[in-house]
Amino acid sequence: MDDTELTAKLLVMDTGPLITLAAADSLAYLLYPDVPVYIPDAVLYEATVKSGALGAENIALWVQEHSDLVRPIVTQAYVDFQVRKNTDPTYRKRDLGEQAALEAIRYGLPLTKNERAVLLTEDDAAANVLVLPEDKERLIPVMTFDFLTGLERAGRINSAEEVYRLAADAGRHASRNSALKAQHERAQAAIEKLLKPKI
Amino acid sequence: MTEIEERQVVEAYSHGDISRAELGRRVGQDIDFADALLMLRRYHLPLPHRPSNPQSQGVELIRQLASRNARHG
Repeated sequence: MDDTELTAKLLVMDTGPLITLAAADSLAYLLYPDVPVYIPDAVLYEATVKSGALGAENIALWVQEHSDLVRPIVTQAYVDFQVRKNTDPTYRKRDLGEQAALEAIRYGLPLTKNERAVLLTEDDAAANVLVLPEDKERLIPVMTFDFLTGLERAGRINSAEEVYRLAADAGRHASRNSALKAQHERAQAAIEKLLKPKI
Repeated sequence: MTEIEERQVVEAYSHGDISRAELGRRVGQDIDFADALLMLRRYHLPLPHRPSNPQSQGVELIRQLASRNARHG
């Protein structure tokens, strides 16, 4: 295909890519292909729900600052989860993110005939299960490292390896960061505010 | 599970030999990505690179999109 004809959407399937890139202070790379970035609401929620979720505040701010290109996908799975959680604050749903991603793939991401969806994930086993055989031509799972490799080959970043190294380093430093809990609470509040009108 | 055993399991995850779901099964709890990152941090291990496929259609698609944007931008 002539690359001038290329059209695509990027769907972030799980929290892994967001957390990895946020920890490396490299969320901006998600915008380098210059295509819309879709994130299921439950994935955004999960990226900020734990105090150990590195980069949670960066993720919340980044989504808010790039609302023209970064678009949460509303899912019934997340709405149902919130309804249950309102009556039982201890309620947890084990496969919430996966359910929301599945719903987003099947119903939340309409594609035109020549359009492809890049499913960005840290868990390609799950992605391959979620993609039906008849959809394999248009739904393309890509691991975070491979996404970065694509950017590296396009000359847009210096090194995919370096991003992973930065993420790992940030993780080690974060354990000594006393501000992490406060950051986490701010991030959660921001994401809840972002998602609330759509529930 | 002893700390040595846990380290071995986390090393296997870091090397890409086992998935995050398998990591969770072996340590006996649900492990989301943030948990996995914290476990890697505990043992000073890098993030896993596998399974990945640098020759995949997706890598080429990202390269083309990002190249086009660089030319037009």
